[in-house]
Amino acid sequence: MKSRIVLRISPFIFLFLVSCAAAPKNLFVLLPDPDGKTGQIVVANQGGTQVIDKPGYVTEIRDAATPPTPPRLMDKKEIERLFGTALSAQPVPPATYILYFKTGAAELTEESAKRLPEILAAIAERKSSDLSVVGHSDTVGAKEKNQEISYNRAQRVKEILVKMGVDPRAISTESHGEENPLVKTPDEVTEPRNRRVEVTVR
Amino acid sequence: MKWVIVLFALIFFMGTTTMAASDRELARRYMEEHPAPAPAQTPATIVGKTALVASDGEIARVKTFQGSVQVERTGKTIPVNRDEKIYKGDTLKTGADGSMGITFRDNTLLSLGPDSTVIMDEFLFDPAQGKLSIVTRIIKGTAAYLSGIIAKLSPQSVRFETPVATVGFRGTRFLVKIEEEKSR
Repeated sequence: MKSRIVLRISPFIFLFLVSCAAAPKNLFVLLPDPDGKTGQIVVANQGGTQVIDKPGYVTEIRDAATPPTPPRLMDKKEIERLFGTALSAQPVPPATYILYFKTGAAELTEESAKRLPEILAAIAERKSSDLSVVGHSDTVGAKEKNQEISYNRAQRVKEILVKMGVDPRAISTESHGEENPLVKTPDEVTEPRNRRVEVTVR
Repeated sequence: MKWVIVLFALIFFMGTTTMAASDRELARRYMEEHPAPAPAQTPATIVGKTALVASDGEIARVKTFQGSVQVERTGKTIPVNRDEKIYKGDTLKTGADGSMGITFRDNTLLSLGPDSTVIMDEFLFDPAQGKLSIVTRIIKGTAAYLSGIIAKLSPQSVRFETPVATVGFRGTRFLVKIEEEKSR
């Protein structure tokens, strides 16, 4: 009796399997960001648009003219099976450190000087030979003078890092003067948060 | 009785067609709001005093790789090393046993699973000048994407293209799997 049922439905199982194999499966899965928050993706083609805003949800698309399917929750094991290799190849996210300076000078504040070992640890963790050191100033004084100050600040941080054992070839420096403030201010405003060097360890 | 069934069928049919139409309208509106970026500029013109693009135009670096991987640049194949520089227009390819991960200058992370091909279509990262754009395109395979600074500053400047759809972002980590069409 049982075998007869199996026999009867087997063509349907076969058809199902064939249709699974034939239709290309294009998947778009939203994951939470490393900070735990979840963003949003908008998947659009000629057939329609789907917005996904819940973690672990997936939309499938057969082809460019067929609308994306309504999002559904994807099994964690299935995500791991299909995307495990791609996920494990994801680089360690870069770390950014902001070091602050005394007014008009290329001298680090005491608090910022204490953060230097953290930068070394981040370099070691990533085995990084790809650092960017970008100098900035506040808006007190002439533009050209601030360009020079921000240049000196970036060079100073590079010097310190090299003294601590970092390969100078791994460091690229830039100076943005007063053009790229962290906090927007009018001209001639002293702003400690803008007197800075941003170090990114990639 | 027959008429009732016909009427219901008609209502159902009309319902689905109008729904399809409104979906198309949404897609059209989305495409309008997310126009393709302006034609590519040569690195020489985008590197200003305040440009954050490294001076030689590098847009990303290879951080992880395993198995067979390669980078194609203007028709040539470049062997991959750690911290290999990636430029606009490069094609990243992995073989059946391959995987590769890159970090863009704006801290976007992109990694490929096996048998995957991804093209670096656009990259502009110059916040001071308001020039921001990152467009990557997958041809086939699997990829994991974690958006970076450009997506935070200007979400509409970030796009991920696939043969079957375009993906837009709001600060996001996502996965994509594209199968090649069998007819090709």
